[in-house]
Amino acid sequence: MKMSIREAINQTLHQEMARDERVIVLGEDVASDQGGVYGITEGLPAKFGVHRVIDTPITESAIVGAAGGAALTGLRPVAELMFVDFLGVCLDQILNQIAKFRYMFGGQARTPVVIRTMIGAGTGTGPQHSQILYPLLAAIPGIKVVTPANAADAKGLLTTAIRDDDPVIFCEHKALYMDECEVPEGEYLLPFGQARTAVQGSDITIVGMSRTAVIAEQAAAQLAQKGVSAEVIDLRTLSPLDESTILESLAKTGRLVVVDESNPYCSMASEIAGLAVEQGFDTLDAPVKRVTSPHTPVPATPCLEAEYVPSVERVMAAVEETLSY
Amino acid sequence: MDISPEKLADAYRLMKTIREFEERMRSEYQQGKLPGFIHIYRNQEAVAVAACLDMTNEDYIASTHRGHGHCIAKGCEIEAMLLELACKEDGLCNGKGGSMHIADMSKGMLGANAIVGGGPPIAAGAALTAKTLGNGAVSMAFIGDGASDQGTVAESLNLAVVLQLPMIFMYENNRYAEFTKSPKPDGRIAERAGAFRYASRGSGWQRLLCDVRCVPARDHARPRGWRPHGNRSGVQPLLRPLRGRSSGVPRSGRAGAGARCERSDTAISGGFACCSAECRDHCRDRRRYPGRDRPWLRDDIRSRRPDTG
Ligand SMILES: Cc1ncc(C[n+]2csc(CCOP(=O)(O)OP(=O)(O)O)c2C)c(N)n1
Ligand SMILES: [Mg+2]
Repeated sequence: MKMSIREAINQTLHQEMARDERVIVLGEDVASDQGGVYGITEGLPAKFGVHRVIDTPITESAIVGAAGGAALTGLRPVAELMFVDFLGVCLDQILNQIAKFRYMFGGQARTPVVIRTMIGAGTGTGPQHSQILYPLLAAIPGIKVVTPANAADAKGLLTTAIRDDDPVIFCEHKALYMDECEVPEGEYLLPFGQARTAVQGSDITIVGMSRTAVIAEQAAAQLAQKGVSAEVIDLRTLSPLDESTILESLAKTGRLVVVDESNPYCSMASEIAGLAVEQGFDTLDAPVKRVTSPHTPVPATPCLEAEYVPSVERVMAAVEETLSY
Repeated sequence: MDISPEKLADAYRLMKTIREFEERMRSEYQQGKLPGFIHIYRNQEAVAVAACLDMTNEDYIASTHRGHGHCIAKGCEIEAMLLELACKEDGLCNGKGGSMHIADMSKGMLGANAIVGGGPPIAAGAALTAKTLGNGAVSMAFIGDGASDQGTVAESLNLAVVLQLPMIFMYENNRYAEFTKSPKPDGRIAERAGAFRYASRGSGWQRLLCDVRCVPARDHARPRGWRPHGNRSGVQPLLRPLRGRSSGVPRSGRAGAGARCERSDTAISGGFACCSAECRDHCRDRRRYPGRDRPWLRDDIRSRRPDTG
């Protein structure tokens, strides 16, 4: 069935809450009639009751921390951190608490919590509502970081996330919510740490994640018209990271462009460039190119914001530079 | 009542300025002509104006995501505000911040804040500056009823008491936090601050202009005999819960914000209604509200400058 990412996430929450009564949803405005800012939790309170779909005060530390505590003691909470920018408010509970429990307590603890959060630029909302921040999260051992790029993946990955026994941060790009594609009916799970080869190709590898996977696909379509065969890899999950799919593709093409909406320093693009240099050095025919956002906050001005994020044009330019090396 | 008719007229002019400004911004936003998220201060005018009426540019405020009214009350230039909301180069923040991050350091306006609860610690820091420099300035944090649940607010309340800071906590209880109606019973906010031994001056916005509680509030936070160092007595942060109402702005595509838009009230006339007849007549006499220059009524503002920053 064709549906949007927004609908796929909503459907998955419905299915998982019906399947397992330990699954609860909590966060700001999640039980409102509108189902939150983008209507993601619409219909859940009517179906499952406000004891399982819980509106909280504006208090991110306590939302995330309590979700962690509930997970530690037998529930499977899906907490909503409305925008990933609010990570600043609740980082301790993620960084020092839930990410550490399992290891620090000698393996006796399980923390099956999912934190759903909105990422990315494109809505003109400026520096505190437009960040990406997933590299920050992927750098923390003990949590998994998931970045779906289409509705089918959103369903498959969210189902896996809710059934996973470790903390998972599920990053939803706000510019992708209305993107539609075919989504499998019924139960659908996708394994973590397994990238998707979105486009097969032989001249160059383009790696993307979340929205940049979509941009990479668009660039590949345009490159095909110019006779360039680009292979596009959508990472799907950043932690765990599917290193072998990247390295195998690189072995085939010899050239690599990584597209990442993060700021450049310590980005996923840097991580993957590092991987290519360390483990794929012999296969590289040209330097790895990173296409990222610049090292500044996200501007509110729409015209600057449009320049800020990686675009199809910038990916094309990077590909041409790499090919002509 | 210790407010002069002149001052009351100034207050009314400012409130009316905010009202007209916000009505225009609301319609611009609904037509999709302003980027980002815009939160309209309509119906809470009396709070910002009374709160800032006795402040100077040397005093500080830390605002919320709903910051336009605070800006105007603190004396920010209207045209530069307009340009910032439209994210233009000549806006107060060169278009880098937009509505949710509008700021003017020269006016002691330390920024709107898109992080709910982000402001109070910053205001506490400004109060620390005032205390350390001994310049007699006062710092005020605006806090929504929703924001009052954030840990940062409680932490700031505590810090301001521990450090004896010249700070005012100005709560704006419009009984809503986004789509969620506040379950907090009235007064609970003030009770919480009482745990930190705050002197709290509660009153409805209706009585604001008459009582002008803000003037004693300011004096209270900046006591007589204030000295920069070693003076630990007499300085007391102050908490002020006030009630007003505002409206959200429905934007096509954003689910159901319309419900809030329907809620309207009459903060301005409410403020007036309980003024003395003398004050009211004085305000009526002066027909220039909110003044001749109304840049928000001009249509060229959007097209006038390129929005490159
Ligand atoms: C840390 C953080 N959490 C959540 C939000 C989303 N949000 C924006 S406004 C708002 C409601 C704020 O309510 P209140 O403090 O009462 O202010 P009001 O909008 O009523 O003026 C919420 C939850 C945010 N911007 N920042
Ligand atoms: Mg409120």
